[in-house]
Amino acid sequence: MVFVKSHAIISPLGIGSEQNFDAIKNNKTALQPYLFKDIGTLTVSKFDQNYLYDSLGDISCNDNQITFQEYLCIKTIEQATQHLEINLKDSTTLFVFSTTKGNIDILENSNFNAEKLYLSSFAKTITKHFQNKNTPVVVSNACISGVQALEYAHLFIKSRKYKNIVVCGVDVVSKFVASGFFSFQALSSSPCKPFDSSRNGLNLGESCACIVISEDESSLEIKSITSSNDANHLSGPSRTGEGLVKSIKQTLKLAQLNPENIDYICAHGTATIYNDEMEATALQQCDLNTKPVNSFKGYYGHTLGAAGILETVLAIKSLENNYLIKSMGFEKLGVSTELNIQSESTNYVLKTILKTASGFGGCNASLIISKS
Amino acid sequence: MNIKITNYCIFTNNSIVVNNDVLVYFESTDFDLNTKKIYKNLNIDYPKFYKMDCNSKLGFITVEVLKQSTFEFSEDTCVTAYSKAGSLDTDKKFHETIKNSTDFYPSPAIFVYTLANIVIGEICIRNKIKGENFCFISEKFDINESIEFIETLLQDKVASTALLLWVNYDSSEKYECFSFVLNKETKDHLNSNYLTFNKENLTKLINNGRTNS
Repeated sequence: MVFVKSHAIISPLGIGSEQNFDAIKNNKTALQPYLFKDIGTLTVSKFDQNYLYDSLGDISCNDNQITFQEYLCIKTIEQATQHLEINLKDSTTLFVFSTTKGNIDILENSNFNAEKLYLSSFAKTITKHFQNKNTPVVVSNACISGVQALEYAHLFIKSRKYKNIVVCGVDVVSKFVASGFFSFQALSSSPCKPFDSSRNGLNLGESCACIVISEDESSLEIKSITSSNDANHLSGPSRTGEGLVKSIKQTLKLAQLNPENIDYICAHGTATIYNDEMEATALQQCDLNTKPVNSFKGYYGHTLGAAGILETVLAIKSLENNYLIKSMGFEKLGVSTELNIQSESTNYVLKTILKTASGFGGCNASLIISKS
Repeated sequence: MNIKITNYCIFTNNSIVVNNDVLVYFESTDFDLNTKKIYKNLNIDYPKFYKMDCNSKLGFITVEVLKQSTFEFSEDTCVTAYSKAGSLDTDKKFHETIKNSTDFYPSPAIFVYTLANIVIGEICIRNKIKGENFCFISEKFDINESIEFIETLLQDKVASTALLLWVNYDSSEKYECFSFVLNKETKDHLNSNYLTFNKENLTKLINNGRTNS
């Protein structure tokens, strides 16, 4: 069996899972206007890097070429592992990273070695800091990267190859990514509104999150994780939602659970017209549309490679606290199926949760975590 | 669990080798020239090909050749791709369109390809593959890691077939793609010549595929 051992978040809303969960309980959002050169003002969630460096301090290392993304990962992993008794240097510990663009902003900034553009190099810088000799794994599968990194970890704890796997996801809002999404006209100029009738696009966000997966028993078991592909279109989800349906049904089957057993769904909910409609359709086809569902993107924006980890940590916090967080930005249902969008933050008994994700390239993924 | 390599295709800047035959030796190492040649020779009628970036074309064409017009993928095939460069070539091309204020002109047609996994998307769309799909970035094609991953994957999931890829496009002169169709051994395989999916065989096939000039 596979368990959640610990977790951490470093985001514009705070340092640590606790600080972040408290912030969103109190309706705080990281989304703010930000002026991008040549693009204009976008609503995004962005770090105050100087504040972060002041709060968290320097990293002592021989290689003084640490990028902000690498720094974030190191600090987040330290947060997640500081009270644990596991040996990060040990061969029974593996590091798995989830990122879509890694150090892509190096293209704009020649201060760093171009070698760092390779995600394998980005990962190695971090594991070298922790003196772990295993080659790190890097999952880069668009917006399902986070959930898929957890899937990889699940497979290799289950197969008993490793005792502990540190899964860390990160992405930043670079001009590269902002320009790209801007060219797609996928962005909303105001704070995003997942599942809402007036939703008109996503907001980009930055974050770093980490979950330590282990064979050591804890109260949180990861029951199953699967992925699938729509085999339909590269940049738009399948209208039928069949790819996500396939993954959700398979995840339920492997967990030996029925839809009734799910207490809450942490959706992908990017607030684009097409994604939210597709997810609603998929949930209905899986007999899950009466269950409470939310999206965290109204608080953090779409954090791409970090999203699957960040949002799973928040779902875990909800599970641990028997508390449902309201879906920020939602006022009136704007999808063609009936959904039970959580419109206020409230106490709620939770035992089993489902997380979903979908991304460019037609990929989908889902996971189930159960509390004992 | 025994896994068999039932089909494979290796595309480098020197040649394409498919299931033990050298399909063609290239006179030039130029990617555009060579892929165009293959596309035309195979009579592939797929206009979406022209929109693809180099990384996607590389993976796509290799799998088209692997199919040899006779092979069909099952819907539940697990696709696993490894790469070192991922979408880096296209990333640089996209960056060119945004780096100067005076000619800032981001193109959604290029941007969609600035992700390592899009090559998998193209292959899945073409072949109606809807199963598990993993995309990894690694420094090199790690034979031990990929064997262990596929074995673990097929052990754990319902699927009995996997498509394993190493797709690495560095430049118009430097690129290579390995593709292997892997199947859990069944009674039908017992009298076949299919190679077992292990380190020795994989190394042999890759070396054979690479050294042709």
